[in-house]
Amino acid sequence: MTQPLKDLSAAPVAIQADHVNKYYGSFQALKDVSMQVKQGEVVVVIGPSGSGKSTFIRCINRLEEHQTGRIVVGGVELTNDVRNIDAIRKDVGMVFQSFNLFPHLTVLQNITIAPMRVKKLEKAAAEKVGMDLLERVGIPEQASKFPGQLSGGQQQRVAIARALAMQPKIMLFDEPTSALDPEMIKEVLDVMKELATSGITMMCVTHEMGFAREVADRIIFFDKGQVIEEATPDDFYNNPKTDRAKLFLSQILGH
Amino acid sequence: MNSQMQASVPFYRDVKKLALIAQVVFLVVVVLLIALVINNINLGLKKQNLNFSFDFLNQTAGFQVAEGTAFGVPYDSSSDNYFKVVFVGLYNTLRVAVTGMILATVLGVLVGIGRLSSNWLVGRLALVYVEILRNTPVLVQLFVWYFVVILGLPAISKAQPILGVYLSNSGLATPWLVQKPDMPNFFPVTIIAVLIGLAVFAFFSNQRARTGKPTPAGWYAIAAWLLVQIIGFFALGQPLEYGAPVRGNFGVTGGLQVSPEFTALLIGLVVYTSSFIAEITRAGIQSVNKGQTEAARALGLGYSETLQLIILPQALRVMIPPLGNQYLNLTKNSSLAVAIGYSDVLNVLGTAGNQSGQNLQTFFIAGIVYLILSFTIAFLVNLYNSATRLRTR
Repeated sequence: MTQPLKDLSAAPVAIQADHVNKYYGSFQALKDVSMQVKQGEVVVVIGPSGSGKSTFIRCINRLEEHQTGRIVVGGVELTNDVRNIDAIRKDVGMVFQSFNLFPHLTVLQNITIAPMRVKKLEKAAAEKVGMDLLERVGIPEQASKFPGQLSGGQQQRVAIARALAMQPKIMLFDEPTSALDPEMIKEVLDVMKELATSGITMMCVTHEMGFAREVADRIIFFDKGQVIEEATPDDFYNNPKTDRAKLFLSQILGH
Repeated sequence: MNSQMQASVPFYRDVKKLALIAQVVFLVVVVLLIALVINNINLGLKKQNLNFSFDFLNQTAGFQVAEGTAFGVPYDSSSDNYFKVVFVGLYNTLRVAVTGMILATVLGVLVGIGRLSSNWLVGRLALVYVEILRNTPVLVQLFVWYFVVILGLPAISKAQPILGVYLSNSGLATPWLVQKPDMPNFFPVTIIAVLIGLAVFAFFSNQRARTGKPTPAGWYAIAAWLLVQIIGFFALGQPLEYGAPVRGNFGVTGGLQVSPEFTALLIGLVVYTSSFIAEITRAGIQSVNKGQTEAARALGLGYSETLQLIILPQALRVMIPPLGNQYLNLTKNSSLAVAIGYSDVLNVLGTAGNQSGQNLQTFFIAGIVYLILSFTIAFLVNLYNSATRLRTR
């Protein structure tokens, strides 16, 4: 099942990367990465482990620092200027592989802490937003529990709600289902699918090929720190152009 | 598996019986050792013609104590007994230990955070602070603080008051609310107020954990504490008055007087203990998963908000047990007061022992006192520890 393609040609640019290079010591993690994500676009980034896809997504909100090249998010260039970094982080939500919920806070507090502290929202208003989001991800009854009392799938849904509470324009997902038991993957993917149809800009690193096929507007294939191939899901899965992509697909789809 | 097979196991191969035998053997050894010690003490006492009795506590102490009261009740060496003078010493010990624990924690946590600072200079300074202080004996440090720093201050006749505060080699004198001599003792009110404040904090923290509703437990606790103090103040007919230090011919009178001995001991213990607390803080912060910082920063929380709201509360859980050890150490190290002449409980008991010739009893009392103090601290730390335990399935 493939969604009808959105017409994004007129949409403004959400993320722009030009010739981005990143090194860890002498190891080059990103090699001349250039790409563009339009507003409302859903981009899935795939590639073998160690290919730099997580590193790239983490550069977009400055969890990692790139050394050369330009990254512009929502019209703001990512520089050493704290104000720019803060502005970008306010507009970019992130979901991590290991959830990274705050274990000492309740589920609702996890969600309300940033709106209250960063956006200076009243507590009642923040809790209203939080409960609405918990409703949206399907676990309002867990609001007063602590993250440690939830299953992995529930925790990741809380993490998504937490990121959405800041009303970001862009959502980054860094392998959101990789740490989950198989039967919990679906509940998280369902939330992400619903999100993908809501018009938010999404960039998602994942190994879930079914998900990529279903919701992605575009697939970006990374290998050895480089963008090897960019295509619509149908093109990418049915006739990959590079040998590396062919090999990768045969390995992950072959079993 | 049938019972006959079990019964056929000889006792020296039966795990349960072996465990029982080991316990019995251990018990016998312990009892024998205790009996040996008691017998030894008895023989020693008999040889010196002494008897192990605490009757001397009722005798008049007759020696001056440089500072402190029996928890607010003034001590008069010409009429009060040994029993009361022990409480003056205990009061002095608690004064320095409790203040010391609070200040050492604040200073230690700050230095610990400094150790992890990305600012090169701050990090290095914190490192030097920690390494010098925790690698030199606390007794040496006390001597330096007392003889070099505090006694090196100008004499009281030459000291200049700053906002009514005198700092000289006879200590610190500052304006304060002081007890009126002929009014009821206000000290118990303070103790009760603090206990009620702690109870309120425990209650609301617990409620927050149960209902998940964020409650400002800390503010409620402070409000309860202040309220009890104010009610107590008026209920007892306003037993406190404002007092400012006045310089006379023989030093300063009035206000709150802090002796140079207390100051040196407090600074020494605080600074020494803070170096260990700094390392505990560093370990605590580093034990928190890096993902926590990343998640907080990705949400737009700033450096200090992340530290204060996300990292420190989690680090604290790891820090509490070793922090408790440092509190015990600080309290026990306060007995080094004797080296600089501060009248803590061990110092007072030592004098009492020498004067009455009942050294065995006074050291026995000292041991019991420190044991009770340590158990109380350990109990409170454990209470806090279990109250803030992470809730998982």
